[in-house]
Amino acid sequence: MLNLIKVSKVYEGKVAYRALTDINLEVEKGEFVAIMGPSGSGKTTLLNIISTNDAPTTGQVELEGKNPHQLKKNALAKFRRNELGFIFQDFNLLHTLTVQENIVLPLTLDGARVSDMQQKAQAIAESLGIDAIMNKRTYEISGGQAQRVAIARAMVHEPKLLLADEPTGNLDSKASKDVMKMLVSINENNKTSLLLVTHDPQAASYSDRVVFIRDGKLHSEIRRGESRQAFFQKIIDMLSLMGGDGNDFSSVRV
Amino acid sequence: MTFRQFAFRNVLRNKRLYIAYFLSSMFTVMVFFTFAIFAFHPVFSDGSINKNALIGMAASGGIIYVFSFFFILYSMSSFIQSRKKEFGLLINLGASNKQIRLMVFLENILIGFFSTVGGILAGLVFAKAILLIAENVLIIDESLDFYFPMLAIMVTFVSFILLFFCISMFVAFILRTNKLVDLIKGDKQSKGEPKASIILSILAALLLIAGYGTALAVKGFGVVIAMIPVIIVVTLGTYILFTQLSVYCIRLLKNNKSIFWRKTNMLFFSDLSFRMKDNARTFFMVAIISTVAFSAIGALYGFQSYLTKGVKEMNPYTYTYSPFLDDSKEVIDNDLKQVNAILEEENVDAKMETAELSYFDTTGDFTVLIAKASVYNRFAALIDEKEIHPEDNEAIIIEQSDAMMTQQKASEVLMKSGVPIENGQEIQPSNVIKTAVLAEVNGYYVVSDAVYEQLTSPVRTETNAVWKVNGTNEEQVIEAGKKLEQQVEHKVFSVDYALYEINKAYGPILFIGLFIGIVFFVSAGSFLYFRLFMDIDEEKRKFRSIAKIGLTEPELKKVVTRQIAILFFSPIVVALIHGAVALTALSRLFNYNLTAEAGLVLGCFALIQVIYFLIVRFFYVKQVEKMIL
Repeated sequence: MLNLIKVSKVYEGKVAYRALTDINLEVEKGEFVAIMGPSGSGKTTLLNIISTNDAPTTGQVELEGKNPHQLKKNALAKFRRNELGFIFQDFNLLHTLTVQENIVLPLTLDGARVSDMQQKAQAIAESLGIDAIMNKRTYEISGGQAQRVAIARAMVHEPKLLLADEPTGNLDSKASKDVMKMLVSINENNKTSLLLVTHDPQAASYSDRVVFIRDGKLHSEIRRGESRQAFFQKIIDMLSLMGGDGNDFSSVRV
Repeated sequence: MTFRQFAFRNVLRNKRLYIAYFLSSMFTVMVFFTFAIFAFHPVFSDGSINKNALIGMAASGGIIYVFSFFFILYSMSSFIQSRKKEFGLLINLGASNKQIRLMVFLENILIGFFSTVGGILAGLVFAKAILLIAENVLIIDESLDFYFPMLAIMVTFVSFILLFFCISMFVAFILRTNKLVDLIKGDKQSKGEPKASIILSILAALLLIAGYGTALAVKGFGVVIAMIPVIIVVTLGTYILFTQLSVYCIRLLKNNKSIFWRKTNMLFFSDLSFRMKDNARTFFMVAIISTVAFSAIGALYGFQSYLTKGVKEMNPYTYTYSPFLDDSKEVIDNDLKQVNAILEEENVDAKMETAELSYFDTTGDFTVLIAKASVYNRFAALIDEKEIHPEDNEAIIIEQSDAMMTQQKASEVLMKSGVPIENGQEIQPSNVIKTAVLAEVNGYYVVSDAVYEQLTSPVRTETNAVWKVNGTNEEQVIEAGKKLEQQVEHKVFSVDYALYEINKAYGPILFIGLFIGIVFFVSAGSFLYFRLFMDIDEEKRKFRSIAKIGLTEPELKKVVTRQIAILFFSPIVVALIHGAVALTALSRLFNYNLTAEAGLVLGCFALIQVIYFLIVRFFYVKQVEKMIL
């Protein structure tokens, strides 16, 4: 459903900087793909291009056969709102709104009916276990809860593609695990395609496939077999192969 | 890096953060300085201008200075509010309270120094402009040339360095550092909505209604007595209006999901309630300051028009000659000759009409002027009024236009009575015409020439002469007027010369009043600007996170526009209503209709505010858009 063809990104400036070089990537419908790589390897740039927040210098991005980068600015905003869901490292919740209001925001902007919105928010909040905090303000809840609210917001309009940028970056291992399990269950139950950018091999091990990039180029990819534990080990091995020691990358161990 | 260096670098390398505060301080200095340039002008110091005007100017200088003090204090405290997080970080790193205070003090001294210097320099640029304006508004014989205002510079510099020093001390002293966690969370936690109670909301409405009611009900001298209580009641009412009633309304809206959850409403209202406490305070201050500005300027302008318009309307003729009652025919003829000679000498081309005007007793117990139609028509022709031709059985009532609100209209009195003629009959008045022909305050009748012959004998007869000037330039007319009033004492009245004298005496008051009014209004505007830009980083962050989810440009503009519109117009609308009520009360005091003047003044301010709103919105939207793209 998502297809990247020879995507490159060059940041102009006094010294032009090539952030991405000829990236080809395909994500099937319902697939869960993780992108890993050291800092500065271009992971976030790649995600920004897929999320249409940034435009590629050359190459094409196709989502279900259409290129969103050809849309006009306002149409693009609507496209993001309707077709994509976002989860960020810093949650990106609006602290002037309550949890419930944060969740329904994408629907509100689209002018949905109030009863619909309430129903959907309630349903998704129950499935994520946050229905008890619906009327709290964002500074009153913990990081794990905040990320779950963010997931609820990303999912409430049933997007085709869910993009997560370091969703576990600000969470402890327990909360990370919960969040990842939730993402997996969303991926399995709703058949939502999921693209995850992360440093955390633990989080990446929940995916179907991990794509490694280094210096803006695809380095390699590994697929998950039967066991998540073995997959996790393979990811660690791959990271240490890419450079550094095996234990450099994550302090989180199972 | 010593601590002092740290404090200075913190300012110098962080210009963007400090610029709003710096600019408003500079603006205040500039205002004071331009005023000082004007007040200390050498023309005034040689004693040619009257003492009262000088005292007035000193007082206004004082008012501007005191106002500057509070204005800068407010700007500074709101600026410090927005830096809570930074203080939190510093305390976290181990800075003591004393050090934070020292830092704030040093920063303020630095900014104070540069804004004083900057304000003086900027003031010098506008010096010539302000002197030109002053020269035109004030009618003074000397011209106000540009000069190098050494004294003004000194006074401004010393007084503002002193002011900044005091404020820095003061702020450093009162700076309260709350719990560390609050400081660090600072910008994420709402300061909350003030508590809204229904009782207080109703009280607000009641106070305003009572204040307005009293202000509109009292008449004449009662206005002066009622003024202070009404001001207190309305001020209190306004405060409760913004802190209670507005909160109450927003809460109602927020609880109604079908409104609150409609499209961009959610962003807009949640923000309003999030900032309600700060907003309420700003709204209140802006509303009150603007009201003061509107009322002051409206009152001054209205008073001037009261003085000049009345004179102008009562005297349509350029010069009027009315002899004393016991002047003999020779004296009058002599006077008229002298007048005409002076007019010729001054090259004033004027048409003259003279008439014997007779006053008669009426059936209604009073003496009134009755004029022949032919006399009326001669005088009317002079000022391009329509001729009238009354029938033999009618009398036409002429009254002055109704600029002056007298106790009872002249026409009402005259309508009740009739004109007796010799054969014992009586002619009834038919209709009323409003015109200033023959300029008789109490109104008069015009009858046909035939009827005039049949009137009973007059009580008294006066000779009247008028001149109407065509196309001669104004200065000559005034000059001639001056000579006439001096040489043909108390008998000749020259409208233009009288107006010239009024404007000359009134000019300084008007100028100073305008100046202060505008200062108040502009600073009200800059309060709003502060309120808006203090939160801009927060807003940018917010819009950026929404933009990531997807927010179209029209939607962004809509939210931002509404937010700014509420901020800009709610206090101004309140101030406009306050101002309108105040000016209505004023017009009651003088018995003079001020509707046109009040409309003009309030309309101008409303227009300025709209323009200001559009400009600020343009830049604000641009800044926010730049951030999210």
